[in-house]
Formats: sequence, structure tokens, C-alpha cells
Amino acid sequence: MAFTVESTITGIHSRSEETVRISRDFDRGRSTEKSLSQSFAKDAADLVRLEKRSGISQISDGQLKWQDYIRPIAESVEGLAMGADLFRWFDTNSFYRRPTVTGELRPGKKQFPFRKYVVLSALDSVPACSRSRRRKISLLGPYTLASLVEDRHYNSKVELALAFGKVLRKVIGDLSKLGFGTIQINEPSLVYRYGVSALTNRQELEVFVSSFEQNLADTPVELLLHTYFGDCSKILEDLVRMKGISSVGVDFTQTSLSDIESVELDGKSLACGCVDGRNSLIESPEWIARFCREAIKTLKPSGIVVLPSCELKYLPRKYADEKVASIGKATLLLKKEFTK
Amino acid sequence: MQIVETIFPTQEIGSIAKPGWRVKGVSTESRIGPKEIEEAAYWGKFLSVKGYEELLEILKSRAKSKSPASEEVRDKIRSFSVKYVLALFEKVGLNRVYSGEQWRVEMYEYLVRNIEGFKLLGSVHSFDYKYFTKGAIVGIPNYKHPIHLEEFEYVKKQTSREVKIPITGPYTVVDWSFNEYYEEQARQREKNNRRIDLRRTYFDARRNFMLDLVRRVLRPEIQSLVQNGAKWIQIDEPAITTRPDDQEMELFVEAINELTRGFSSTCTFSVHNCYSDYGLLARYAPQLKDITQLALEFANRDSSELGTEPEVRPGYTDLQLFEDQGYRGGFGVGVTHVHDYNGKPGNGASVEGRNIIETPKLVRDRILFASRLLKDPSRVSVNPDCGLRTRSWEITYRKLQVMAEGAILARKINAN
Repeated sequence: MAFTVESTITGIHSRSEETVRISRDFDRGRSTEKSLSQSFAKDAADLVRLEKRSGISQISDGQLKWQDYIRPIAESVEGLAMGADLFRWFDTNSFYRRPTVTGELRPGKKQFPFRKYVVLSALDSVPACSRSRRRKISLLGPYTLASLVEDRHYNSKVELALAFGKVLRKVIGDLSKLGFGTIQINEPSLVYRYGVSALTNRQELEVFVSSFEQNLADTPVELLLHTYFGDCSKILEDLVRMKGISSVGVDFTQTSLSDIESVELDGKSLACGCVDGRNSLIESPEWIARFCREAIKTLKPSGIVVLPSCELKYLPRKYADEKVASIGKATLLLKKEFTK
Repeated sequence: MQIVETIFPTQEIGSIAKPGWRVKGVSTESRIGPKEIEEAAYWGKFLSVKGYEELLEILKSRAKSKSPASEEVRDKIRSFSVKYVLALFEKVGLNRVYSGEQWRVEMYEYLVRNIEGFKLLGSVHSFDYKYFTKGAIVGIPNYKHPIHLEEFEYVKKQTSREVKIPITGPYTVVDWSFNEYYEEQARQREKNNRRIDLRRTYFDARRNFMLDLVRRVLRPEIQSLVQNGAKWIQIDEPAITTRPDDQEMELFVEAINELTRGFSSTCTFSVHNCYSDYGLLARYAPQLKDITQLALEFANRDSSELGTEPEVRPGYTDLQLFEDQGYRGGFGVGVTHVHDYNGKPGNGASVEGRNIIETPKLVRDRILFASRLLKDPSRVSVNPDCGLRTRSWEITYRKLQVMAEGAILARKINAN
């Protein structure tokens, strides 16, 4: 099979200064819901244009309306009550409202609330990604979801992760109907170093793999599994053996290539998170290409997906956009080199 | 300036909400209206702020004017907001005071705006529709001029109480900034290596940034304050334990010890931290050589039932963590909750809107429990969990009043 070179962004993107201003005003009762919605639509359209112009292959609307990754899921699932309390989002300076599991988790009759959270108009403006694997969205995986909610029902992270696997199957089905052909499953908790949201034992890893394979291995979309905010070297071999995923992601700001050089990628593509999503220092396309070249040479993946180490929401918009442009240009350099 | 000699001294800890007249008065976009003038008149009279009538005249004139305020007028308005906060603290009876950070835009932005080498880049999402302005270090940080001295001199003139100056600590400044300059330097050093190890460059770059900030900026700033009579400096470090590992905590200790080195014979230093992992902080607290007080949040972790038994004071049992690790310094014990409250209060508090209002008896019991656990009342100072800037002035006044009254009740019991 021919080597593939692709690129994408990792989930929630940064809001523009204009959307920041309007949303602040909205919060204080000084602007309307309509003007906020228009601002989000423009923001998303600008991003999609940038992705297209830069050569990003998997296009996202930036999930700009998502206050955090959990809220849209909580709104479409029975047994999960939206919380009011704020919790720190890993070791960043951003926060999420932690929901509580109050009963058995069921996907519910409601569809994923896409009208509220997805700017379809921006995605539809790119004909090539109206319904294809180029249309992409990111979700949290079952293990991270189970790690970040307050559980008052299952009393078992294992059971909870399995329940979230079932929920995600339904959500992915809904998103597939909306034309999303690629879904990135973000699993920071699998590799995060600190605290209760970190993977603590081998049994939990096995549960994650089992929940993933049972529920998500045969979904009608391509799945990219990304790990970030931590070192994946100890579990990467397990992840690449998983069924149902086409690419495995590594946060190279946290994982040394030397520590994973013996891992065989088993025909999977490498999602190469070498662009630091938490530093405004802009990597040049040449620097990114050089990093990816070394990773390809060392790990021998079936393809490469160039992406930021984590979501770019931690940067002001201007800098997040510059990173997107650099990733796109690096992708073009790598394509010339590897897909002749 | 007095030095506090009472047992269980009460102190302010962080910022107080800026009054509407202060915000609109210095803004180039908003205009003063009758509501702001009324607010300034009410609190000026209630707190007996000396010369507040002059402020009212300034505000009335601003309300009529269509042109932006001059720098002189803006300075006057800012100065008055400091006077108002000091008058509030004095009226409720706090022993250790400062400006409620009225002089500053915000604890991070104000500082980095005044340091050469920083550039403010833009807004970053915090949660919901809340954002913060984040800066980057783009060159070696350099001390341009004293940052807090003018504010300190002004506060000193306005109060006879003991003055405690808050400054944002090095760990927090580094953690809240993008590290462009040092990361670029570290990557340059790696450029001849076939493999770039970003994990290694990250920590080296972070340490170099922090130590340069301490040596080139924050130590000269402390020197300037101490030379001009500062007797107590509070180092605000909300970011510590955000990255809870040993390497990061060792870096925090190294930075603080370097920051305070050589000043402790003439100045007292405390560290303020809140909503944090105290188990981890406790392990490193004994290594903080010149820190004589840790001012921490406890009320948020506690029940609001009256009593001094461990069962009803779960929030304060965390003090034992520090005892067990051998920390023998003092504590600024947080006795009042400062954020929105949506729980069910116990018999020592009530709820008004989104606020929990503690009773003096609840404050008393919290102080006494802390004092007994530490086996030494002289190790206990009393403060809110953190700054009260998210509360209205009415609620702030009541919470501080309750705190001061609770300290008086605790002193009486301690004396018997």
C-alpha cells in the first residue's frame, strides 16, 4: 500500500479576538445570541479556509463552540448530569464543568446536538469534504471520559469505561450520518502523569482496549487514536495492536522518539504530534518536516498524519493559525518526498 | 506603620472587586453614569473615606465629558479606589492590609507589562466565555524600573496598619507564560542532533526562564521594596502543584529560595496558594528557607457546621499534612469561602444568592481548631481563602466583618 501523508488539527481550536469580545459581551448580557452565533460561524469559516489554503487534508470546523470536550456528550446521554463545579483540565490553565454519572449511561433517543456545536456551513463550503473522510471531528475516548466525570452509579472505572464505549458508538454513528468520515479519539488520560485521571494499572489499560474494540472497532468511520499530555512509551505497543484504528498519535513534546524506536507500528499510520500546542513559538515547515522525516525513518509507519501535540485552544488565535499554516506547508514538503 | 502583635491577626490576601466607578473612570470605552456616582458616594460616606467628596466631583465631571480622562484624572481615580479599600479593611478591623490590588490591572498582566522581554500575545480560553490574556517571554527578562514601589509608598501613607505587599511569584509567571525565548535557545542547542528531544529541551528552558526572571527582575524588585521599608512581602503562587511532580516542585523551591535569599533579616516572606494539592506542597514546605507563613485556602474544603471536632472541620485537617512533614512555620488560615456557593449550608452559615455567609462563631471554631492542631496559636493568622474579587462590595464587607469578629471570639477563648 502506498505511503500516505496527511495532516489535521487536534480538536478544539482557539477563538478569534472578535469572538472573545462578543462572547464576553454575551456573557454580560451586552450582545445577542444571534451575533455570537454569527461570530462563531465566521470564525469557523475563516479556519476552514485557512486549513484548505494551507493544505491540511482532514478538515475541522475547529469545534469553536465547544466549551469543553465533555459538555456536548453530557447533553446527549441519559444518566449523565451536567455539573456546575469547575475542574482543571489536566495541567493547563483551562477548566471544564465536571458532570456526574447519576444512573446507567444510555445513548438516549436524542441525537448528538450537532446543530448547537458543529458549524456545518463552514464544512459544507469545502465540496471535497462535504461527506468524506476529509471531514473530521475530535471526541474524548472512553477511558478519559471515565476518568474525568464524577461517578455516583457504577463505582467502577472499568464498568464506566465500558459504558462510555457504548455511548461513543452511538455518537460516532450520529456524526457519521452528518458526513464525518474521520474521527479523532483523544485519550490524554491514558498517558497523563498526574493524579486521579492518570492510568494507574495494566488492568485499566486492558479495559480501555476491550471497551474500544468491542464498541468502536467496526464503526463506519476512520479512527485516529491520539494520546497527549504525557509519555506514551510504556503503552504504545498495546495501542498499535488495537483493532479498528488507522492511526496512533504520539505527543512528542512528552515522549522521546528514542524511547519508542523499537515499537513496530503494525501497519498503522503515525499521528506525529511534534507541533507544540502549548507554546506560541512557531515551528517552521522545514523543522516539522525534519522531525517527521526522522520519525518515519525510525518507526516505519504505513503513513503519517502531521498534527499539533494537543488542541490549539491554549494559544491566542493568531498563533494557533500560524501553526496550522506551518503544518499544512510541512505536509506538502513531506508529500513531495514520500508520495512520488 | 504598625507591626501586628495580637494573637490570630487578620489579614487581606488578594484582590478585591474594582468598583464600577473605578473601572469606568479609567476606561476609554465606558462612561460614568449616576449609578457609579451613587456607589462612590455611598461607600465614601459609609467608610468615612477622607476627601471622597473630591472623587464625587471628578466623577460628575467625567459623566459630563465626552473626551477620555487625562492620565492625571485616571491616577486620581485609581488612588481613590486604594483609599476606599484601605478604609474598608480598617473599618472591619483587619490588622494587615494592602490595596486589594486596585492599583493593578490584574496580578499577571500588570507585572509582565512592566518587565522587558515579555510580550502580551492575546486571549486564551479559560472556561465558558471566560478568557485571560497570555504573554510570552521573547527575550532575556530585564528589570526596567520599580514595579510596585509607587503603589507601596501610596498605601504606606494612607494607613497606620501593618502593610503586606503581594507580588506574583516566579513559578506562576513562568507557568502562565509561553516560553518562546528559552525554548528557541534550547532547540538551537539541539539543532545538530539527528533527533530532537522536545521533552528534554522543555524542562531546561523552563528552569532557565524561571531563574533569570528571579535574578534579573524579581530580586531587584524585592530589593527596591525592602530598601524603601517593606517589612512583609506575600509571594502569590497559585500555579504551584498544577504540574504535580517532584521535578517541578524542586524547581519551585529553588526559585523561591533564590528569590528571598539575603532579605529575610529585614523582611518577612509568606507564600499564598489555593485550590491546590496540599499533600504535595506539604512535602516541600520545610525546604522553603525564608518563608515564615503559608497562606492557604481551607474554608472551601470544610463543612459549615459549628464545632471544633475533626469530624466537622475536615478542611483544616490538611494542616496535619504540613505538621507530619516537619513544617514549623506559620499559616494564613483561610476561614471564609470566596467563590460561588451552591451547596447546603450547615448551622454555622447561611446562603444569600450565590454567596455563603459564615457566622463569626464558625470562623471562631475554624481558628480554634487550626490553633489546637498546630499546638501554637502564634502560628495562626486569619484571612479569606483567596481574594474576594468575585464578590460584591456588600458581600466582601460582610465576609471580612464576620472574619474579624470571629478572630475576636477566638482570642477571648484562647485567653481563658
